[in-house]
Amino acid sequence: MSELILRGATTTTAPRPWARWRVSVSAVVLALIVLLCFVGPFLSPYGADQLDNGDALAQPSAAHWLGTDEIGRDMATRILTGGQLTLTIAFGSVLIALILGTIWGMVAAVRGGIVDEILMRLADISMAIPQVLFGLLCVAAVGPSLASLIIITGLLLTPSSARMARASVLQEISQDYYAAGVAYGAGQVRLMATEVLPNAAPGIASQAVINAASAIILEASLSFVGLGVQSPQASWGSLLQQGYGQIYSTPMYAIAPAVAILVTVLTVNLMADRVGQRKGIRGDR
Amino acid sequence: MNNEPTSPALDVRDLRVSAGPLEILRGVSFELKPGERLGVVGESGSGKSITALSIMGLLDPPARVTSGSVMLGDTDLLGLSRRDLNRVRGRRLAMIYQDPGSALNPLMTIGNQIVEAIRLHEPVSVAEARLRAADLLGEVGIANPKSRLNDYPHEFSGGMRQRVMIAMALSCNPEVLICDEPTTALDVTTQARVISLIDRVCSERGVAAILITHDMGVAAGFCDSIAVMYAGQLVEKASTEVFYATPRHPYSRALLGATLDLQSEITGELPVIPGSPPSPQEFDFACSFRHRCSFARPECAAQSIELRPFMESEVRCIRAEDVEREVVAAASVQVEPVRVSASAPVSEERS
Amino acid sequence: MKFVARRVAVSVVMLIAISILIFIVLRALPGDPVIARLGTAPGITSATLARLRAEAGLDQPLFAQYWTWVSGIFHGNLGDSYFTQTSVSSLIQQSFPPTLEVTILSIALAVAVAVPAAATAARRPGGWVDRIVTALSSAGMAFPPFIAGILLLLILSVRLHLLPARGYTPLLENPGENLIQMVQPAIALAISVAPLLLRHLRNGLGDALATSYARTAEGKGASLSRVVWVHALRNASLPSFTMLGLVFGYTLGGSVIIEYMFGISGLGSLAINAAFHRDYAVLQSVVLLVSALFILVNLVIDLLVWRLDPRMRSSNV
Repeated sequence: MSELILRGATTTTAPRPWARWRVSVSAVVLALIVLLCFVGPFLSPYGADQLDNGDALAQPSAAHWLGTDEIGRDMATRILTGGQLTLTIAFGSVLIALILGTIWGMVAAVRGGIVDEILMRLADISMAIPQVLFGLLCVAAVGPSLASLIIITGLLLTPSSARMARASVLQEISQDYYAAGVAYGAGQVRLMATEVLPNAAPGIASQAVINAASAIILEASLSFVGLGVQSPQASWGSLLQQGYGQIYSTPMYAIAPAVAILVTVLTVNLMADRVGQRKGIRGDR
Repeated sequence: MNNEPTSPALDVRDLRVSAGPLEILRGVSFELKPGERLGVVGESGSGKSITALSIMGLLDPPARVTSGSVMLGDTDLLGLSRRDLNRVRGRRLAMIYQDPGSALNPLMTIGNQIVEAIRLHEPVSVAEARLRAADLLGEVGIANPKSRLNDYPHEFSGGMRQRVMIAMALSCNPEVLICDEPTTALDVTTQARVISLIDRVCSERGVAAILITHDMGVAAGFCDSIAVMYAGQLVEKASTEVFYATPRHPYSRALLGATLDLQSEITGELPVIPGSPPSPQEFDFACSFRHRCSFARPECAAQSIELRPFMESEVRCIRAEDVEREVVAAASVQVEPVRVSASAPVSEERS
Repeated sequence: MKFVARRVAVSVVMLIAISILIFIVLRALPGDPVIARLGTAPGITSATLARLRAEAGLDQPLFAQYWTWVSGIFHGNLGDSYFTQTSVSSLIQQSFPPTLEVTILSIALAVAVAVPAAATAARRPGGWVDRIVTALSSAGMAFPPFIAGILLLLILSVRLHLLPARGYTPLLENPGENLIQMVQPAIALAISVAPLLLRHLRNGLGDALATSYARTAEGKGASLSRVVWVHALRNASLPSFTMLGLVFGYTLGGSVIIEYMFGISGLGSLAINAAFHRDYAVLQSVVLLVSALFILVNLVIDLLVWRLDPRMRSSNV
């Protein structure tokens, strides 16, 4: 009925070309950021720890594009090496959340009943503690180090991964092919590995993208308050903390890591946006 | 109805509506005299609701009126600013909708919704508007109207909700009431009651009404005249008596045949119209019904076909004379009994 | 009433579970607060360690420690800070008002921006206002509160010298100064929170405006503004209330960092300090309190939505 079709046309607009392209555009930008962080420092004339004693807290110049820090290290180089750490933490924690969350969600979906209930309530409970505070709690318990930061961030992101994995797997096992597979006596583990997981992958992967943004923010938050990456190592978060201390004398010191975080998070968000719009809200972070 | 020449309550001239590049309403014209009831009939998608919504100014983008005029008394509705249109809608022109379940705001008491309808147009106090709302509810047959003002739509049954809609539509004494398939969403017994209610209040208040329906029986019982729509055009207009006695357009004949469904199911023969109506993409200047018409000739596809007077009707068919001849020869289809049986509860109510 | 009882019960069970979770994370994971506090200072005997542990109650079995903590909550006695030896409840009492103020102000600000923006955007779907609002909210979502905070500081405090960079004066002591100090923290939090609300409400309004009852209202002669603000907003705001609950949790988390950045001595700063010094006694209670606040707000919102939606109310009584 044409009148009904016309009524519904207000909220769902056809995807504009930009919407279709932005996943690939943001993927390219993200690849550039990664490349820059891991290859860039080799191209820089300065070592990350190389001091320029006569020139501490310098303003941006031709020699030091983003200025120098309080002991004369080149900011641009530090941002790139700091990015290595930030991205490593993000990648590692997303991987942890992906693996644990998928198992968590899959078990809940397949077992169902009381197991499902308990596992999902557990996810609810751990998500009811604001993530930053939960992070502080964990850091206080085990102490800050690179490894603990990756594990803590990963664990904090796991419940949201578990929820998404459960939803995706549930949708798959309600399909006919799963029932048929079970009827033919296919092993459940085998069926999961060869049929269900590959089909549930898009949903799980999109949550991983959202988690990547959360991981960067979480790492930066903890490092910013001094409970994340510890000196002499540096990440964007800890650079931001140091830059924050010099905010009146050398604004660039704070601006550079802030912009690095912002651009990366924005890029990741653009990639995740399609999922976010469909779900209405973005994963708890 | 007296025979004095009166100026029409509503005069629609060559109304055209497009949605993007597609024309979905292609020049609809009709008049409605004060107190008259016009039945607009046709299949789903023929443009009945689009006609009603464009008169009300309620089309949703991308659909929009491209030309034509809609005169309500002396007011050209299509020329009004949104602000002025809002002074007319709900006051001089009101509408009731297909599904009363979703047409009422679920989070507002029906009292507040009727009060809003009154106070949008008349400077009365809330207390006074509530009194009037209660009277209206009583008038449409809702028991304990005062206390029911405080109820929410979900606390009413489907038929009761449609009564509320009717009360709301009547709240400012409109000149014209548009009823867009008011009974489609209701069960059969409720349908008859709601139609007879609309019938009663329109008579009592002298409201002119447009009844959009695909139920030929309901239209027969309620309307003074009938307009048949097909593919965004009127294909036949006639008074109710003439139309049901002698449907001129092959499509009208098929429609009346189609209402035989219930009876013919018993005997096993189903007079279904073969094929399906064209979609707006397939509209062309020639006859839109030719693909499904047993009278179709090559010339039906070759020329643009206008609505023209034929006998006591107006019909958009170049073969009306041949149809007439063939029908007389084949001893016409008896549609009379259908009309009486299908509209029985309504007819009783009216007499 | 069954709905209310069930909803309250679920909240209580969740709180108990959270308190256990907090306790497990702090006690069951490796790490010793006493050693952390003393550091590797020389000349510490194992006798001293044992005495300090006993003072903090750390020599008790885990369950006994948990019970001491939880039962203390009902007596208003949360134990003493391991580090400063002051009572935890007095520390929390001092830190609670600033956090509450920052949170409430920023959510109020977010709502004040999001509601009119969403209503304006929804009037013309796909129009220029709608597109700008959508683009801005996408960008805003990428701003973690502390990034927004740093950029605000750079512009308003460092460049323009308009606002103080740090500090907190209690509201009752000097309301004017307090509000001036609150401007940046509140905006920083609102920037990252408003887009979530805005997008949710905009979609809800879009759906509500496409309904038949919105059309009925228009057909009655109601202006578009009235249809949007009275009819559509009422319906769209119910699900957005639920969203507001989630947003509240996000704001509480964000305010931890924001408090630290703007030198506000609220619960967030208290938690960060406690985490630094492994002051478990303080940390566990602060985290529990903030989680309880989050759960309470969600409970209140759920009950409110239930009250406001006549359909839910009558189907559950």
